Amino acid sequence: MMKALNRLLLIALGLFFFTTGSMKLLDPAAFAEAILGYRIIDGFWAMLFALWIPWAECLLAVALAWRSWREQALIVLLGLMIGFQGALASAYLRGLDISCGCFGADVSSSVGFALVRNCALMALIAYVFRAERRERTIAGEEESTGPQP
Amino acid sequence: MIKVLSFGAALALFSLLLAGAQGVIGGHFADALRPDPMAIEMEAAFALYNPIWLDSRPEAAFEAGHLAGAYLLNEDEWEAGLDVLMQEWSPGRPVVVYCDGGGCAASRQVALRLREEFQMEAVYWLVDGWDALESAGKVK
Repeated sequence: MMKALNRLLLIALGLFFFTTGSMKLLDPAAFAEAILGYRIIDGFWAMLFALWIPWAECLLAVALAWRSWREQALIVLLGLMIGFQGALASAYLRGLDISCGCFGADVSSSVGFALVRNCALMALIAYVFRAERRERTIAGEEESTGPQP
Repeated sequence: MIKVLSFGAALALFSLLLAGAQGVIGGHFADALRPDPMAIEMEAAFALYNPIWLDSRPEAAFEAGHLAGAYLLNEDEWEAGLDVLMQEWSPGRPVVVYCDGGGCAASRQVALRLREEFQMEAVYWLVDGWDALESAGKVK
């Protein structure tokens, strides 16, 4: 039962990041505008990040499907989320009234809401990582204490 | 740890390659590097003849202080702001939109919308917006 739930959460996580990445890739100019709103980087760099981040999100989502890459992908995903949180927190502290740009141009959400939502996402990533690790440990133990001849 | 680092580096590199390809093929890098014809520096904006100044910041910020003679026009209060603008504007009269500061997208969006929806030719967004006005002592 727990295994099925963990699997479901993993799939949901993968689909979520693949969708958000794809939405941003469809309109990089709009995402670059959103990045400019943070007033951290400018011009060409905003466009580079507007293309780079969504590709990384999509590739990480795909990597979650492979068992051998899953743990690494979850750690990198968590690192990426910490980076996003840093940018959001800095915008929040500077009182910037901007849309987070997390889902591309069509969906707008405030910085404060995005901060809370990202905390929930990070907790979910950490939970899935822990579940994955536990599952591997159990599988390893079963292998080492398997039927004796 | 090494596994995670090498995975992260490979992912960063591969996604950068894909991003680079999309940026070059889709012309996004060229667009980003091309100077925006609608961007205007403060000195040039103040040299325009009889421009209409538009403040695209949120209403609360506008109420707290704005450039003398500026009107409020942002995406949230679009209709109301547009009515006021249309009473003032006449073909050929320049319009300058400003918002919070460097990187603020609202002025660009408002300027672009005015140009696309109303075919306003001389519509600009102010580079560095409010920050530029403030440091030049145009607003307090």
